[in-house]
Amino acid sequence: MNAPMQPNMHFHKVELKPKDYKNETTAFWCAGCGHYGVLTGLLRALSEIGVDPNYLVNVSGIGCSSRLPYFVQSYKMHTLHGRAGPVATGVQLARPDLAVVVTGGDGDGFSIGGGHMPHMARKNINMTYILMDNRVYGLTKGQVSPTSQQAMKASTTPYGGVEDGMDPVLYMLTYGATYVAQAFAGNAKLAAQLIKGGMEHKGFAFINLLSQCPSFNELDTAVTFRNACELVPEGHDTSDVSAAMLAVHKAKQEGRIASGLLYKTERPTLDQNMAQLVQNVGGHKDYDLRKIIDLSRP
Amino acid sequence: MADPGTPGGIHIATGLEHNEVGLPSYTSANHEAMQDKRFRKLKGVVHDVAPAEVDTGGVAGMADLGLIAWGSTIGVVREALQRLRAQGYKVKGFYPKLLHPLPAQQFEDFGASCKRLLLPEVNFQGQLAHFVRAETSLRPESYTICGGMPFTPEMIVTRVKEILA
Ligand SMILES: Cc1ncc(C[n+]2csc(CCOP(=O)(O)OP(=O)(O)O)c2C)c(N)n1
Repeated sequence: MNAPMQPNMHFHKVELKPKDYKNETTAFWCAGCGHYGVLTGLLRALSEIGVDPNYLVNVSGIGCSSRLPYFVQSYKMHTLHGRAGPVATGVQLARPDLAVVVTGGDGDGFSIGGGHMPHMARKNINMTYILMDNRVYGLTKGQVSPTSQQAMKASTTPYGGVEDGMDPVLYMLTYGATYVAQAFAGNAKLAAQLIKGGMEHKGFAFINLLSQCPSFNELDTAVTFRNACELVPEGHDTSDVSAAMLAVHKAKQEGRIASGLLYKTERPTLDQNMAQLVQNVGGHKDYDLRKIIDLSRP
Repeated sequence: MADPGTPGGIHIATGLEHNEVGLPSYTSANHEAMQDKRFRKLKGVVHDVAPAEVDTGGVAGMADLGLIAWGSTIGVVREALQRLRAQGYKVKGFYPKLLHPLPAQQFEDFGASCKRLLLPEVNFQGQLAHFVRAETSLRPESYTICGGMPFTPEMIVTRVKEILA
């Protein structure tokens, strides 16, 4: 696949320390919140890649987790609940030269935003989606989310729940994400390594970071997440999607959580396919999607 | 706002009320200042959008009646105007492209070139007529239907003849 592409400017290296990717706004979540770990992991990954903040766009929806972009030195958009994905898709398609990262919660991504998830994966949008999975709605003070364990008592389930929780990682493997990884957010080293891999990957990268909510989820604590997360075995074949699914299922049956890089493959991204199509029908190789959209303005 | 990829232009786009550097700020002074700015910007939209179309059909000077139409009623009004002019009526049409903010001056200029105004529209309340009365000095006569079917040119022709009889 040699579709015409604008240069990947974000891989023009800059030398910045993790703290240089932290802007002047004080990061603020509850004491002990796992989201701090996600921020630390992201800052480290950005520094290791050497992303130029001017070419980085961090998009979020609504939630405690979705406040993360406020703290990052980058272009950023705090959008609507559940709509980070579509906005980020637009940014990526209009500007394939930018590095696009979504950070958001399990409620944001898989409740109200659930309808968008399979399409970002199957279209292979070239961006990194970091799910800050605390298995609860934090911002609205403790309601059940699609990833909550059935036993979780919350304001909407005072006697415990009646549904089984979903697995975001299995979901993404099913719908065709080309990079799927999982870790405990408190393991900033692993989280950073997986985010870096996701950002360097060309295609839709999904990273599930398990992030404890000490205020509203008593079941999934830092301790339970840390103990449950187990790296996939040394010989795990990351190019085999069924091996990845099997690893997730097997770990689950044993009460553990498969972590590390689960799956990675290459196929054309949506912007590449679009560029190729434009060329095939005789269009200009440097077509500008924004100019095309401008044609339909009043 | 700078496009991402512009060195030095880094900011956050947020739906929350925010200050100059993009950080959320809910003080009443800031909210008032931002409302002021938003509504000031909104006024400029009138100049960014193509002006309303004035359909004189060759009628020079003052028209006996002007028709204001929007949306799919425009096509019906165009046809009605052709039929009326063929029968010797001095009638003009005015088709705004923008309803909010209302290009009030364009409405006023059209109104000044017509002795009377008729505003047919497909909704119960006569929403555009209401809006025009609120935002301009014009007092168009409202003609509304809401049965789900569009106007026919004949309905417009008949109503215009009744008014000018
Ligand atoms: C359209 C809309 N519906 C509902 C809400 C209320 N709301 C705000 S955050 C949220 C869920 C937050 O949970 P999650 O996305 O998991 O993020 P967390 O706060 O746990 O990090 C909800 C339902 C909203 N802000 N907008």
